[in-house]
Amino acid sequence: MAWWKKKEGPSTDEGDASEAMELEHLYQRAPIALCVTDRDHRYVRINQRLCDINGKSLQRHLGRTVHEVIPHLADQIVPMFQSVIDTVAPVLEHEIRGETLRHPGEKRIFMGSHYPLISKAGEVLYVHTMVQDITEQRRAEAALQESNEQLEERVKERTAELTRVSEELKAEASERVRAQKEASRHQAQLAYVSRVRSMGELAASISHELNQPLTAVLTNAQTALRLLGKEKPDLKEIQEILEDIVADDKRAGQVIRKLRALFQKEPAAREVVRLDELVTGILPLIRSDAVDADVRINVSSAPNVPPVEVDPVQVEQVVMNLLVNAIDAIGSCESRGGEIEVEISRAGKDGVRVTVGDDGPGIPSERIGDVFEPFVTSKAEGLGMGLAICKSILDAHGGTISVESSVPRGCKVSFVLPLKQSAEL
Amino acid sequence: MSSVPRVYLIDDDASPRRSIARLLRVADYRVEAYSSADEFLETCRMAEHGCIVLDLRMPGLSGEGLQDRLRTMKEVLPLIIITGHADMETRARVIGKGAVAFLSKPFDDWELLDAIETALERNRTDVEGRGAPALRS
Repeated sequence: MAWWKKKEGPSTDEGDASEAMELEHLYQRAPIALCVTDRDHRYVRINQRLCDINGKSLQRHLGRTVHEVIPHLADQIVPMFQSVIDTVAPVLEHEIRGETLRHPGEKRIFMGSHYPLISKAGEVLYVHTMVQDITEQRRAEAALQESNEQLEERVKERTAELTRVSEELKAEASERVRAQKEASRHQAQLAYVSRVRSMGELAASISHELNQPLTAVLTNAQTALRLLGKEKPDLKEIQEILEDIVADDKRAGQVIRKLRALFQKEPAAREVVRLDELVTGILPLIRSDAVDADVRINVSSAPNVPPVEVDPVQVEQVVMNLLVNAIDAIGSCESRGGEIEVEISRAGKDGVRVTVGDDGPGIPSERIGDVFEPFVTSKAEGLGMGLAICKSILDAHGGTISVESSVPRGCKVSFVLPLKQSAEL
Repeated sequence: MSSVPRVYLIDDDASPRRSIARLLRVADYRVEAYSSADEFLETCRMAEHGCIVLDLRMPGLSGEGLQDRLRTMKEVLPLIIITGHADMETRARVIGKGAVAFLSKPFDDWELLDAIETALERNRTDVEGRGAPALRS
């Protein structure tokens, strides 16, 4: 007879009795909660540990069902007991959660394992249960996990922060590089703008400078003719006139020399550039002129246009001149506004062509042959140097420039730059 | 006629000033030359008969500035504008304000002399127009 069946039953021998007592002693004092229930889920045996957990004495357990003793937990426990009885197999590490009388108002977590105690006929007579309060363990685990997570979170945060800082540093560095590039580009643009802007002012001042001595020369010469037509010409006056003419002629010559010095070629600085990028790079410089004249500038490039090796500042000057001319042409029309089409395309297999077309008044056919000559202009304030300078720049690049126009509307100026440049500029 | 007409020439540049003054003298006008509009305003005692030959672009008070000043002063001497950079807009503006002629440098001698004759003729009519009621009183 097994020791757990009947406490009250007579023992068969001394050995058995002492063994049973020892076992009972162990059972009662085991540091784990234990109980045995019968097929009706009545407590047959329970140790002190489980009594403590359930918050009821030994006497209030024995002979009573689980439902009667711990009704609020029975629904979690009884199905396990039943499963052991029905399947003759243990249910291991089954979790039970809920309040106990010992810890009222507090949700505790228990781990239960249930084993069948089987008769010789193979029938489950009792269910042996071991229960462990794992609340603290779980809490510790949760705390550990939480602290792990926190740690992980902090590591993540720190990593993210480090990444961010490093990204910032990288961005700052590249921003600095970009700003430097931008600054030098701006500087170049400013220098360029001031050069081009000063072209207009220069034109005005040169025309003024030339007009003064020319006026004097003409007036003096005609006055001399008048004097010579008189009966007694004042030869002294005529001599003074001739001296003045010589001086004024020299003065005009000085102006021309200054002008020539101004347009002397600067040392060549060749770079490989894409002409579409070069053109779009200029647009901001003339945006205000375009806006003032209500002109829209469209830039289009054919696909696969190869880059060219040129002095970009000079080629920019060409494009700038053509755009300014186009804007001025449109601006000279009575109707406000217009469009400029800039097209970049291949010119045969050896060149790239840039065409600047406007819908301004065009150039009369009798004047088209002269437009690249210096001092030919249709502008009141113009000196007539723009296209002449363009032509000299293109000549230096081994390129060509041409113009076609149909009065009353439209003018197209095209220049072609060779893909392979001649050795010298 | 009460007085010989004067031609007041104002140009900051010595070359045209000297040559134009010479031309006008050879053409028998009495010429007074000034190198700035300010100098003209400060020192000139304008005669009743005459005209002004005026350069537009000058340091200090410009030619157009002087034209405006003379208009507010109710000075009626006719103006001939001479300029090294003639644009249509300025031309229309100064003619609109009463200038007799607008000549682009360089110009032929007869262009200037014709303009001066026109200006002096206008001056004569102006003076007679103003003088007539005075004679009756």
